[in-house]
Amino acid sequence: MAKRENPNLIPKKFRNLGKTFTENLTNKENPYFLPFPRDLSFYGKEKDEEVVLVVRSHWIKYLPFVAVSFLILFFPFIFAFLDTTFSENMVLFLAFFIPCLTLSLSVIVYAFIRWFYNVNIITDKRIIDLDFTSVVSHSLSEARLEKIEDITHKQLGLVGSLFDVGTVYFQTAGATPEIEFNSIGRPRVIQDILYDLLDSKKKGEI
Amino acid sequence: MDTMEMIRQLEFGGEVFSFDLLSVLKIPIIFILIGNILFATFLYLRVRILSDTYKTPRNKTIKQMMAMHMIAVIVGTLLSLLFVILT
Repeated sequence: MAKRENPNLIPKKFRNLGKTFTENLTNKENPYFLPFPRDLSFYGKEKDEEVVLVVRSHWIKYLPFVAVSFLILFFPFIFAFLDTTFSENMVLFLAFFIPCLTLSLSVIVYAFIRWFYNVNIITDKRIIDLDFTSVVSHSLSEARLEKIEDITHKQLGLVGSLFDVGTVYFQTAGATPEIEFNSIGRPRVIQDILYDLLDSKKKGEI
Repeated sequence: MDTMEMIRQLEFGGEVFSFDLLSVLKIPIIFILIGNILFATFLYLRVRILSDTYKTPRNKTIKQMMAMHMIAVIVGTLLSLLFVILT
């Protein structure tokens, strides 16, 4: 993957804004934080629309899934420990082990897909929150930058303090419900980026 | 005597209560297997929709991964059913 530290990779219209957000963006590229991705798009993207940032939830949010997956995988071994017939009869052990293995695999795949498709996108025109809530539902919320009235970030609890994870809330004008970027790392950076973007948008710089 | 052996031969008022643990566990296992196939199918369909909403070059890999998961779940389920019937 190409490094974005190179200022030439920052789109032209953001290069000479003199804002702190471009520094915040270019220094922190990782799978959770993708600044100026060239090869990304989304349904309904306008031709002149530039994706500024794609943020995903922090990995800590998916740790319970990994724990559950391991627990399911070790379930037949616990049974084998409790009952000797399970350890003596291989066919019986496999009759329990294979369903647990497929179930454990499904939990891991589900966690990965949830992480991959739970994306928050910031463009120079709007913010988009794609939420993969379950296998039978997902939601997509979006708000134009000019409709954003207030940005707040909250960090709660021990996990929030330990891993620098929090939620960013966007208060929008009108009947649009509040948009949230849930469990993201370094939420203050997102807040700073959005404030700078809104400021540039109001001044007509972007 | 191990723990499961003790559970199997519980004594209530002089009468020994015994049951076959395997036959009790067979039915939920079959339900879990069917549920897992349904889950994998729904997940595959959701990914198909989401890859159209959020377009990235990695979508192709994700779809391949989902197809492999689906195959693994189906093969695993068939094998499990075979072992469950054999026992």
